[in-house]
Amino acid sequence: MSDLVGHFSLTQPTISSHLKVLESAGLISRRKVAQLRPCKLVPERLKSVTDWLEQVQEIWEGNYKRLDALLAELKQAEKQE
Amino acid sequence: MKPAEASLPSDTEVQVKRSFDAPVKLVWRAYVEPDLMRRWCGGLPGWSMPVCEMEMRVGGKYRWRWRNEEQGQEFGFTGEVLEVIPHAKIVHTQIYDAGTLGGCMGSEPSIITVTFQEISGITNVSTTIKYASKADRDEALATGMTDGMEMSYKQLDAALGEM
Repeated sequence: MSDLVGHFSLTQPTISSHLKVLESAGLISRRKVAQLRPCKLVPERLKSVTDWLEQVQEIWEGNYKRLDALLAELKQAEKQE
Repeated sequence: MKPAEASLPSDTEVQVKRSFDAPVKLVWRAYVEPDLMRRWCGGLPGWSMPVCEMEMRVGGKYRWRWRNEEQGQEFGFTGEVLEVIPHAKIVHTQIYDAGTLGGCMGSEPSIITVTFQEISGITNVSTTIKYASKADRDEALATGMTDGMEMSYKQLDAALGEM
């Protein structure tokens, strides 16, 4: 935590609350070492989020490619009018 | 055009942005004219859109339904239009009708907001789906999209690759 505070223009309590959110979402894990609470990324969890977004993108992009083709056709038709 | 970009603006939302190389009046037509819409929206190999009805006015209802003859499967969406600003914005509710495909996208309707903005001949379209709760959103993403639709879109990708 003390390492993080130096890197951002955020106060210690703000960083602390962000870390809590990340921890509750399972994106980081924290241990206790004496007074310190070292944080570690949980890459598997992050990957599931990005996979998920990629899937959403893939689905929409499939539709949008067809829309591109349709729009090109509509533009062409407009030119000929 | 750059591929669609999906993000999670909040716990209950999914947002997809994409730009199109066409003026907004044409993009708008592709969204509000059923005959045009059924040509791009989910018309996948094996799937047809036998029902594509919409009344683009505040309080108007819409009904979209897709059917796969070979698999004997059907699913759809229904909802009501909440706001229409021609060439700029459409807001409507959406309820997933699982048909024979199954899956669930939450018990409460979600709210879809589509905005259109033209900048020098390029139209930016942003679609935000707001679910009634985080649980609904997670359910929709887990079921609806991974099950039937993902498979179908993979087929579409393959078909586009052959073109």
